[in-house]
Parts: sequence; C-alpha cells; structure tokens
Amino acid sequence: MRRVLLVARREWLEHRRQPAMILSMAAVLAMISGLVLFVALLMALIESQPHSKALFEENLATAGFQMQDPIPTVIEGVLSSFNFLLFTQFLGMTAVLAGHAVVHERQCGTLPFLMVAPVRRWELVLGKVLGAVGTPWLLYLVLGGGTATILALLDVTAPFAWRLPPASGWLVAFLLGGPAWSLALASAGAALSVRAHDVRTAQQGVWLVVFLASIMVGTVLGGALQEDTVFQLVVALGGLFFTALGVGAATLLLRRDIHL
Amino acid sequence: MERAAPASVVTARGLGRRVGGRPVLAGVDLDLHPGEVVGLIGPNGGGKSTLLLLLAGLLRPTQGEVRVQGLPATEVARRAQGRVGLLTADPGLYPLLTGRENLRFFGGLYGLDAAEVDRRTGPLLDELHLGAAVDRPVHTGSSGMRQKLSLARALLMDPVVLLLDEPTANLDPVSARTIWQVVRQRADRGLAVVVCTHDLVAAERLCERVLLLAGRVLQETTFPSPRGLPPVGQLFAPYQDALDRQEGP
Repeated sequence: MRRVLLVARREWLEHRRQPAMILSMAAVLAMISGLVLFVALLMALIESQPHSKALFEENLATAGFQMQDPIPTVIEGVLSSFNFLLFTQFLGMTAVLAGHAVVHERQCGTLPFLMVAPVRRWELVLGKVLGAVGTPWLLYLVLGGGTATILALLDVTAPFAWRLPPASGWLVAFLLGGPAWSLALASAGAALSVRAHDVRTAQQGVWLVVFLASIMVGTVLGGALQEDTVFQLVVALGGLFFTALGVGAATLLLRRDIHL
Repeated sequence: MERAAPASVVTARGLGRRVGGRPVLAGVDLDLHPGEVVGLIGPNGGGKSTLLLLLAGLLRPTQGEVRVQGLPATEVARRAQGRVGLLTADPGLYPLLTGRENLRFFGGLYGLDAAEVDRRTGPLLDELHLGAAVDRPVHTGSSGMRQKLSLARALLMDPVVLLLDEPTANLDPVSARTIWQVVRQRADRGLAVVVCTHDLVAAERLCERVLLLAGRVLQETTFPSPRGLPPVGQLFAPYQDALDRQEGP
C-alpha cells in the first residue's frame, strides 16, 4: 500500500503544479453551485414577500405556466438538477484525469522506469486511480458539500429535505456512493489509458465512459435519493465492486512487456 | 594457479525477439562480467534497443532467455530491487516535478525515504555538476541536466548492471563527457555496463567489447583494456572554460 500512496501522492503533486487545471475543475462546480444558490435564494426571497410571490405567480401564468404554488416546483427542479450535476461532474472529472494516467507516463517517458522498479502493476494502477480522484474529490467535498449545506438551511428547501444533508440517503450517496463510483470510473479511465497510445484515443474512450456514467450512475446517485439508506449503500458497494474490476482489467492490460 | 574469471552478471543464450512475425533479433549469446563495458553498435533497426530492453526485462524474448544474477530478466524488477539501472535517450522524468522530487519518488518505489535518497545522490549530483538545478522543475532544465538526473536515478540503487540506450544523444560535448566519465568510473569499480550508441569513437574508447548488431551479432570486437574517454579535440577546453565562466558566481 505504501507504493500505491507514493504513486498517488506524486499525481497530486503534479496536479498542484497545474493551478489552471484545478481552477477549471473548480469553475465547473462553482458555476453549478452559484446558479443553484442564486435560484434557491431568489425563491426564498420571493417566498418571504407576498407581493413578490403574487407577481411571480402572475408572470408565470402569463408565460403559460399555470401553477397553484410554483416555488416548491422550482425548488424541487433545482435540487434535483444540483444533485445530478454534482455527481456527474465529479465522476467525469476523475474519469478524464484517470483517462490520461498511463498516457501521461508514456508522454513523459517514465513507463520503462516504473516497469523496472519493484512496483507491482496493480499498485501502479491503484495509485493512479487514487491520484485521479484526490483533487476532484476535495473540490466536490468543499464546493458540493458547502452548497448542499447552505441549501439545507433555507426554509424553501424543507419540503425536499431528503434531497439534502443531513438526510441519511443523501449523506451515504455523497460520502460513499459518489467517491466509490468516481473510483470505479477512474479505474475504467485508467484501463482505457493503458490501451491508448495517444491522447486523442484516450479522450474519446473517456468521453464514452463519461457519457454512459452520466446517464446511469448520475441517475442512480442523484435520482434515487428518496430510496432508503440501504439502497444507497448497495449503490456505493456496487461502485467499489466495479472499481476492483476496473483495477483488475487495467492491471492485466498493463503488461511489463512494453515498447519504448 | 590460474585466476578464475568473475561470474557473469548477465547471461543471454540464443536470445531472439520477433515483432509481428518478423524477426528483429535472433541468436544472441552474451556473457557480461562485473566491471565490463559492452558496446552495441549497428544500423537503426538492427536490434540494439531491442536487446537492451530484453536485458532490462522490459520485453519478453520469443526465443532463448536472459538471466541477471541467475534470475530471469523479467523477474528482476520484482525480486532483485534495483539490480538493473536503466538510462534511455529519453530521460523519462516528470517535467512538473523538480529533479530532487523525481529522485525521491523513484527512490521511494525502492523503499528509500527522502533522507536516504538525498544521502545516496548527494556526491553523485556533485560529480554530475547538477548543483542547484536539482531543485528546479525538470521542464525548465536543459537536455543535459535531465539526462544527468536520469543517470543519477539509474545509479541510485547501486546496480550491478547499467543499461544505457543512446545516453548522450542530443547532448552538448561537456554534458556528454560528464556522463561518459561517471559511467567509466563506475565500471572501474565493478559495475557491468551495456551501452547502445552510434558514437563509434566513444564505443571504441569506453568498451572492452563491441558487438555489431544487424538482426544478429555480425561481429564482435574485443579490446584488451580500457582506453579512457573519447578524445575531445582542440575546441573542447576553451568551450568548457567559456561555459564555466558563464556559470560562475
């Protein structure tokens, strides 16, 4: 495990030396958070002023949206989108980083030197998977967790408390499900990067993985928060199972028999 | 009484490699002894780099076998930590990390902590004239600095065999000479070296044996004793002086 952490730490160190990359990832999550908070706070403001609320309903009706009480509908849509986007963007970021994991080694010319070192192939793959998850996970935890906490404090979100902390289903999905599936996608990305001999191939492969994962995993994590905690735990375990499969596949693909 | 020859560090028998059904290398026999420098010369595509990769355990032979200190070459990385040092034309370093961070990372893979890596590489970095460059990001350094760092990494674990693939390609004469100097010194202390090169003068001066490879060993030339470093010509001394003055305080 020491070598796994060594590889992961080196990846994190390289990420830290690329602030533009970290800023890009942070910008995606910050934009989601900013938009969601803006709409939620606006709804809270409208809700607190009867005159504004009446005007809002009237304007919606003029626009063709006849609703008895539109604010909860808007809030539900906002929270649903927030969770879906938070999970899918986190998964996507890790998959993209891991999708370049071994391609990056080939570009740096370091692969032969890793292969002559006493690091096992699974250690190298797992280290790269953890390395890919680390930075996006920190951003997801701070920006995603912070936004969800602020949203949970607003009265307008109370009817949908199960979509936010401290609902147990949300906590399990956020703290276990998201990270577990990001590991799974990172391991799929790593496996793709072993076989990809150039960045373009890696990018297209990762794009496919991200597309499929957004539809399937994003829906399960974000859309099934109303299910009980056990369901979310099973989803998280599923993520860990697929991580093991992905790491195993990447290890088998990463042959010591390489060409320089 | 006749003195017994030292045991071979590397033994290759009937070594061959096919790529896509086409033979790249065939029937190579090699015994490499401690302190011996063996040169591999030949045309591009002649199998020099392939032979080096086979010796490093980075390619599996399709015929024959390679053993390093009795172990199959492909097992050496896992079972005989750091017994084989490798240096290729591409230095193979992480460009965003400093030289020292690179050395510490690779040392860590061999179980060395940062202090031990620094202790082991300190004198070597001085020998290689790396100085403060080791604490700068690798991508800001010259080709010579990267190649010297790569040599420091190759020697980090005190290997018994050093495999060099075009180690001085694209280097200025001063950097190239520094690398040859360190390699020769280590060989004099018992390190076995195999070096692929197109520099025939360097091969002739540095090697005890030179194999001409073109898919197989066409010719083997033996030199009874080392003849020192490659000659540098009249331009070298003023060139080095000028560089030293420029680098001054």
